[in-house]
Amino acid sequence: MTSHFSSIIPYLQIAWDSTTIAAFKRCPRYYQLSFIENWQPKGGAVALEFGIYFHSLTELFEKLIAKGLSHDDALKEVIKKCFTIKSVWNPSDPLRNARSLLLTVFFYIENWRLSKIKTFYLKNGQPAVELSFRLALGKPYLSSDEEVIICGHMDRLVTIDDSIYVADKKTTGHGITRFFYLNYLLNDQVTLYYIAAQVVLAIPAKGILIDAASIDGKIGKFDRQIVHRSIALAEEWLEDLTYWLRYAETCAKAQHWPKNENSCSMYGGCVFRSVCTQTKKCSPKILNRDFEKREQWNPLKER
Amino acid sequence: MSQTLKIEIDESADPLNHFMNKSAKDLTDEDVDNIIKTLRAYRHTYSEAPKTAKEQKAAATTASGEKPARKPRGPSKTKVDMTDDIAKAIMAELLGVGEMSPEEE
Repeated sequence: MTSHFSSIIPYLQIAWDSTTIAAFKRCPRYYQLSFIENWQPKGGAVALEFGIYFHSLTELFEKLIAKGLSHDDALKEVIKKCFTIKSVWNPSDPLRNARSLLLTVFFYIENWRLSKIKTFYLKNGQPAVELSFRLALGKPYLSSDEEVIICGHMDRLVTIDDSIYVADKKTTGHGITRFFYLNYLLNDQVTLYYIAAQVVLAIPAKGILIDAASIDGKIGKFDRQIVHRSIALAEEWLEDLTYWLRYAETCAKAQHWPKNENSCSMYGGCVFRSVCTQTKKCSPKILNRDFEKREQWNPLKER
Repeated sequence: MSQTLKIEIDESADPLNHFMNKSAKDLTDEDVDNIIKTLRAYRHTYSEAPKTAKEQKAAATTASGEKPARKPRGPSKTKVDMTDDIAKAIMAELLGVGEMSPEEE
């Protein structure tokens, strides 16, 4: 499978990751604009790009440490890679730019230098870093009889006191408060990764380690906390998901993704509010003026 | 007498800028070593800077050599933040406040 859309029903997604699941649940119209039509605010990709580079640089460090390099030697390689990134990515954003990327990555690595949390090693001897997974849900969910899969990429598996957890890095431009962690008590990505660890990797992970980095343009702030899940909760989430999948099929068949106005003010305010306050006849004008098309988000894309 | 300690960081004088102006191609191993030294010193500089008003007040006290008069304590006017309490309860129940990573314990 290379396309995440159905070959029978146009715009029916059949390979879902946590990003698209959460987007559809949040608001079908938001999902349509973001992941079917691929709109994003002009210059709005900076936060996403920063997160991707932060992930790739810290993963490079973890892989080099797993290969046996010393802390400082691995750090040097990461700094060199950071300068390579700077040659192609250095936005004028005051919070997220090449300089703040270097600072955040450097102090993240330094901050956890003496951490007792260690990368878990798979049976094949490889460090469990950047693990892609696909989980087939089977066929009974869609009228088109196509198989649906859920997929994603886990940052790392770690061990804490002989227990295994899925670690997921989160960057935020805000502080790391208890409310930040509350977001992950009920969260599609956390549940999906928990399921993937149990089912795909057959590893009895106890939960997710939220590995948070607050970006402030200076040295940043870093914190980690565990979020637990249970098999019973995961099963309920999967059952709920089948209803959402059928709803997605209904929308795709009708070529209509309704607005959920109750989400407009959430998440710091939806980026598409200016679009949705217009009729669908007028909204293309706003989209062409204030938004730009980005590459199609494909959950199946290899990393 | 009160005194405010004001700390300003002159970004243009930040030695990191010398390296940030270099391209990946021009970056030498010595530069990388110096970046690590600079950033480790940089963290030290920031960690010494008072961050909160309380810390700033404490630093000002030290600088002036005087201890400011303590305000008389009256009945607590702190409001109970129910939202915060509920959040704490949820965290304790579901997340477990004690379930911090080992290095935080």
